[in-house]
Amino acid sequence: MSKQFYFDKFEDRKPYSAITDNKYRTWMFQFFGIVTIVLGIAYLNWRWRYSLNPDALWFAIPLVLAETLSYVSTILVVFNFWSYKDPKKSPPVHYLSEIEDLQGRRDRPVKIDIFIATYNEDVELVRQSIIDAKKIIYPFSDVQIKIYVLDDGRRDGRDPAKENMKKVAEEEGVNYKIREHNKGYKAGNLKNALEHTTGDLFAILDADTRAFPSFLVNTTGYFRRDKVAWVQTPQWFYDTSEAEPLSSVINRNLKIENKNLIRLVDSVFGRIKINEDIFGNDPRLFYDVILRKRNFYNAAFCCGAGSIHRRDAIMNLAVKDFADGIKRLEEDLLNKHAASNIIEDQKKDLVLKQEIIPFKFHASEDIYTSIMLHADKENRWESIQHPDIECKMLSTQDLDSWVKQHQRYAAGSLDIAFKDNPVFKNGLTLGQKISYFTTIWSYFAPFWILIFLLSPVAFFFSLALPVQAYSFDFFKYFLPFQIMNTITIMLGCWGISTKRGDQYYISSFWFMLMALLTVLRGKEVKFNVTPKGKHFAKNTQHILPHIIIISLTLIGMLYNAILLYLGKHPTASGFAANAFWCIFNIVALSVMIRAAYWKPLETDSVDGN
Amino acid sequence: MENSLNASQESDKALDRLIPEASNDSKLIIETKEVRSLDDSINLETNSPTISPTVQKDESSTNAETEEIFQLRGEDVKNTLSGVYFQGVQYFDLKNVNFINNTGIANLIDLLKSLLEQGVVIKFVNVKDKIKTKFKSLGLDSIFHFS
Amino acid sequence: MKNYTFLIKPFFFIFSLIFSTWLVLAIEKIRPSDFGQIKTLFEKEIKQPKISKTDKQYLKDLFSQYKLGSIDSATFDKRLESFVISIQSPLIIKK
Repeated sequence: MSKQFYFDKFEDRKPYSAITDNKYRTWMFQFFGIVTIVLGIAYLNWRWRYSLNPDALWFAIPLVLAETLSYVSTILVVFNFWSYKDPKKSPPVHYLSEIEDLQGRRDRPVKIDIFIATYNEDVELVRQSIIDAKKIIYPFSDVQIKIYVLDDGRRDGRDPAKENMKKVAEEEGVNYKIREHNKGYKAGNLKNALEHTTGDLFAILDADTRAFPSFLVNTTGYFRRDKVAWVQTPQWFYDTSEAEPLSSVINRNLKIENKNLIRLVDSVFGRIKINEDIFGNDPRLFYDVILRKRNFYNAAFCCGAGSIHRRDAIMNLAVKDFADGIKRLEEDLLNKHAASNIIEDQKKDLVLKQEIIPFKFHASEDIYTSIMLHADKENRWESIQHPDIECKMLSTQDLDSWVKQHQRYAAGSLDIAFKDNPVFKNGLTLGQKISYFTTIWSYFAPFWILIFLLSPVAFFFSLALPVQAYSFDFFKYFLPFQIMNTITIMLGCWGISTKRGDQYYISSFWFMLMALLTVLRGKEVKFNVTPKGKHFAKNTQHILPHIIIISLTLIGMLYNAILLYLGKHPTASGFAANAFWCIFNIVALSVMIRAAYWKPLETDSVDGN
Repeated sequence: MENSLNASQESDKALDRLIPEASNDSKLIIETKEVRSLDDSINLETNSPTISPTVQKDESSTNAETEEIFQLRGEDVKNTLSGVYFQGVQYFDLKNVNFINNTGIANLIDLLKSLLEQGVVIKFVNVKDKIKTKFKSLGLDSIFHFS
Repeated sequence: MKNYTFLIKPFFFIFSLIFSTWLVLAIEKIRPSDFGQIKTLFEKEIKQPKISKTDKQYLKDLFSQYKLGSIDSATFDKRLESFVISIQSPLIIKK
């Protein structure tokens, strides 16, 4: 009897199929995108030069600044979403000569390794991933495919308190690798694996990554282009929360037991479904649009799980880095001591100290390594974002883990931005620089989101307007820009609901701000292993800012409504305009509060722990 | 720190295997064997029968491990290359090496480091120009010594 | 049909934008906002220009000088104007 997990009931979920490219839609997007950018310039020009309320500059300037920064994002999005450019699909490779220049070597079938990296995940969960990895098919029997469980938790049976990962690996007949330390976390684990394996191509799977049988068949063909360094497949979470009729949520929370009342609630709210993918975990927008469209600039970056790599590319980077590291240390020494004989003496130590590190030891090792590979001027490595889903994985199931995971992404990317900014990186093309910059820029969003969230509150309590007048002029510039922007995004993300994404874009402001502060304070970004299980802690600390902002907004609205009723409100239209924004803000902020208190339906849930 | 400790232990073993003169470990069976291209990371010319010492692990150690050990990065390099140890310098003959890929270079770096830790310097002889160029392009020419 | 549910949000948003614009403009027509005279948290009330004793004395002197004929009407006008400007708050100038 195999162990039961909460996600067992989602086993049969089918992945989405990738958006089909349509050139007319792309043209439409490009047209609307340019129109949006032009209208944005007109709007901001008017805003900066004519609209600022001189009596409330303390309010007007931050707001217009926030709008300008947000406009920069709009430009970046249009640039990023410019076009699809899916790479040509080719049949799977058989011989080494198909993927690299043999240079006089004897040909042989390629060797492929599959790495399953684990740290502390339930061994039975890893077993499922192993079983699925074993089911991966390949048309050529002489192509050697080896599966390795890379256990950074050292669960080889030495500690009776821990589960025995080694035993599971042995039972499943796959290789098992451990190391005696955790240096470099996942990147270190991969380094260790690469030292002990020989595959020409290797796939990285996480403990919860369940590869589909077609995983290799559909991806190895890309390596026929000998410049392709890695292929990333979309990460698809098959355990996102289900949509639930609003009526049942109401009945459950209000503990309604009267049958007639239940029927009434059902008839009123039964058709409205809520709580679908409550954590906004569905990464479709990211993989199917953002990353996939980066193929156009050869700027799709690696995201770890579900990727296949060319070993020679990553080793080339590692060896070069090794040499560069020694050179740098040597120069440092040379600056300190002029005498060259001292350097010769110390060189031995330098060489011994330096390590060969394939994947950068960094909290965002995958994106950092991608930048380094893209920036390699001699090799001009190419990356590929494969459009179709080739594996499924688990998402975070509680807000605390969710926040920690996303905070790590944010802090990792920002850390790269501050220490080794891709914009100034020699070797990247302009398109690549802008693409990486877009990723970094998006993590600065909390600055302007915070201003957008607080400006209605500021209005309600100060009754000062950031603009001089709600005249026709204002709407003449504002409305076309906003409408065109919405249409542009709709065309750019055609086929994907951006509802949750937008909500989380806004409600993420707080933890993103915290991530930003962590990096600015110079703290080391820790690599937290994302817990893949359920921890229903009350996550109040993450939603406290949301509760405060929503409360202030509601109190402000009430206060203004009273003023209006008493006829003492100086600007009724201002109240209307701000109230409109507030509704959108509150809805967006509330999603995270709902997520914090969300629990799966109790009726059919199986306890995973 | 832990890592370097580990590496030094490994390199002890590596050194024993590599320098038959210095080793009297009874567990090691030293035999000569025609070398095929064991791994493509360092490719030997297959036509010319090259004789080089090959070290295999004793049968008494776990059988399942044999293959894995054989794959250990660095191990196969040492097994594949023919070398002579003389007065603190380990000479490797790269006469038959026509091609080296980046994994192979990483292997050589590991080898270099493990020997350096013992105070042994590596020198490569009969290195083909193509390979020299490759080392140079990677910026490794100051670390590896060719003669 | 389900394939097009993603269109709901953007269209709803655009509709809301247009509706709120109409609403705001309609309210403006019925009850215009008094821009510029808004009492804010930072400006408790519009300051009335305060006239100090020295100012009063200056005015008295000015008038007496004019009466006595020691200055002509053009100079008087000029001085008076510059005095008025000097004591007025910027808020009032704008009006």
